[in-house]
Amino acid sequence: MADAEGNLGVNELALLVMLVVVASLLSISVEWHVAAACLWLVHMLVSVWLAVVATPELAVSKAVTGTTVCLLLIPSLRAFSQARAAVGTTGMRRLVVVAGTQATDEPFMLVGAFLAAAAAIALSFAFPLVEGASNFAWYWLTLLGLLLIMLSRDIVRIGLGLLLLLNAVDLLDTMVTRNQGVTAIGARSMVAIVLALALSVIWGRTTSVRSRSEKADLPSLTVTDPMPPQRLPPFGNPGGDRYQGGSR
Amino acid sequence: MTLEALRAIWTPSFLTFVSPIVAAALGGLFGRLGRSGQRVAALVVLCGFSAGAYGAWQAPVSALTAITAVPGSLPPIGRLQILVVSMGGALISIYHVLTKRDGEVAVIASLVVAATSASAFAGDSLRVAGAGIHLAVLLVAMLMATERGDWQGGVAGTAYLTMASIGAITLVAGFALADVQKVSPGGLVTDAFVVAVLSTGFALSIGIVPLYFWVPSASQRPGAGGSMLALAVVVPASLGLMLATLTALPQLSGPIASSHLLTIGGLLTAIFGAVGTLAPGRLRRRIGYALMGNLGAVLLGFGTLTRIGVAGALVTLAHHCLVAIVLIGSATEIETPPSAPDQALVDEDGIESGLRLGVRPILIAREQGWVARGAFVLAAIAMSGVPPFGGFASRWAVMQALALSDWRLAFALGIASLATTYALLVSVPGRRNVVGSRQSSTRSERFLLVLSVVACLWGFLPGNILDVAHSATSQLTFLKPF
Repeated sequence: MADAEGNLGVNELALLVMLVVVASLLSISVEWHVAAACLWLVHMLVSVWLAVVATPELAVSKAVTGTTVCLLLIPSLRAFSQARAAVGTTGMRRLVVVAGTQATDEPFMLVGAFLAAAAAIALSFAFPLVEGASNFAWYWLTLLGLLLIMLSRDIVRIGLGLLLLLNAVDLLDTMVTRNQGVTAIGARSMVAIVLALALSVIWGRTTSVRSRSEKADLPSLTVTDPMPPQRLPPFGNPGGDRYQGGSR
Repeated sequence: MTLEALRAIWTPSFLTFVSPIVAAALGGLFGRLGRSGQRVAALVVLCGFSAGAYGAWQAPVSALTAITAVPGSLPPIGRLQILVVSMGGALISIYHVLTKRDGEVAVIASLVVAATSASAFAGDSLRVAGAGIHLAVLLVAMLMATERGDWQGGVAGTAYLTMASIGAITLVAGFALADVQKVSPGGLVTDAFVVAVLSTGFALSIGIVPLYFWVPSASQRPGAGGSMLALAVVVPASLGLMLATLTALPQLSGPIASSHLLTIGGLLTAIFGAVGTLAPGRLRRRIGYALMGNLGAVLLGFGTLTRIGVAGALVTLAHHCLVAIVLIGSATEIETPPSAPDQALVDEDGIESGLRLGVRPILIAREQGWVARGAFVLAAIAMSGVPPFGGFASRWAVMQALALSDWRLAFALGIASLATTYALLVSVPGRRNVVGSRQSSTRSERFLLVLSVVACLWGFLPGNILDVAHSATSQLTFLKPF
């Protein structure tokens, strides 16, 4: 805990250092094992943090929520990773586009993470909204989440950024209102779990549609694909537009 | 749990939560039992909606109060919100069943209605209300991604999930900051700062210019069910949360009134929506812009901060829900290739021949007779607010409130509405783009036509509707008393 002069105790400092390391790893990770483990660790560290500065009930709730979120995300993370692995063996152009060029992303995101850390330190001193070191924790998670959402080129990282952002605001909310009701805690946990479910569904759907498109040699566009395939007719994408409104 | 506790829970208000969720579960179960099962599922879901709406109308106090002992109540505005989203969900489910499409639209619609109802019931507990809206957003994003079999739904679902989720998360941050401001007034966090954060959150959630990015994509790319739920159910529920926020945090109405934030946002949204509708584009994309412009009128009504303006905006919102369903549904019917019985008239070869002739795929429309086009045209006219058609009932009140503050606002809104209607009327694919033909209209098209007639007749029932909305708004303490 922080003392009267505002210095951090060992527990909080150790937690902050671990949080910075784990969240940075999450932002630059390529392997799905690392991403899933880092995501789970972020939840656990926030949970321990809540146990130190808030109530044990909130900490348990966060731990259970984080574990559920990770369990929901692991299958789709693995599927996406396998799709990326196929790029190296078959050289499918569209998967390269979807997966992003990892070699350039990693150092870019690492620099971004350092910048976010610097900004979080500055903001936590200039605009301390909550008490003590929690300022840095929520600023750091918020900035890293926004960074992932705004700068990433693949939907997995965008999803991970959303989860980080949700954690950050959750932390801020908890620090502001310590004695929250069961309904509020449950509602927030439900949102996190359903967000993970939605991300899992969308990742899985994108992967499966892409695989089908590759097999049938149909055009495959995603949010990360800025250019239409070259073999399309000049007027658009007949494969996609033909099925407006779902299957009959 | 004792019998007394069960009796305490079994209130009409409890129906509002439990019945849609039970209906969704049963609907999901029956929906897997073939065509007959889907009909039973639709019936169950409709019963769930009806029970939920009945519970909301009858309940004086929230069941949440009895269960969790947290502060919570159902104000008249909340009842109207639940009524509108239940009506929207029911109409979307009926339309989906009539189209005989596969998918979980009815089930998701039921869950979305339950989530938005929970948001309305939360009352002063803004975090729970925000969580309800966020849950609805996530459910709709999942539906968008899975409703169609191609990549477009995934794109729309991802965009909607990302932008609307950031909006919902920003709202929670804004609620927390409002608490910080309440605890330490005069500190770092000011009312204006809280208003700025909350405005960003609402703009992202609702699709207000300049943070409207997800709206055109959500209107064009996913299946009809996902688009309808996003634009006709979740958006009105988010606007209901906006009113709940202003009720719970009345200190924010001062900065909002002085900065004219809602008025500027509404005007920009109405004008940009009209311009976007006029621009060439796919039919459903233009509908997205038109619906966005219609929400500009709602925001302008809210921005007056008067009872008559907000009452008119609420009626406009209910009308918006109906019109959105008709426009998206009829546009989908116009753009969708024929169903199985019509394959003899228009088949894949026919479409391919159209492609070879250089016709853009989106403009390959069936000749759906007069039914779908008629529904589309009637809904477009109803949205214009031109007397004596539909929007007149609500727009008149908004225009009156605007004219009392600045007649130029009312003039600009009228011009934007007329431009939007004109753009919609000329955007229907013409005869030259039609490949093949079809003589009979489907049940879904006839259903949409009936809804469009109701939307047009909306204007002939101004008194009763406005009275209900006006009595509801009279309990909003932050409004000016006229």
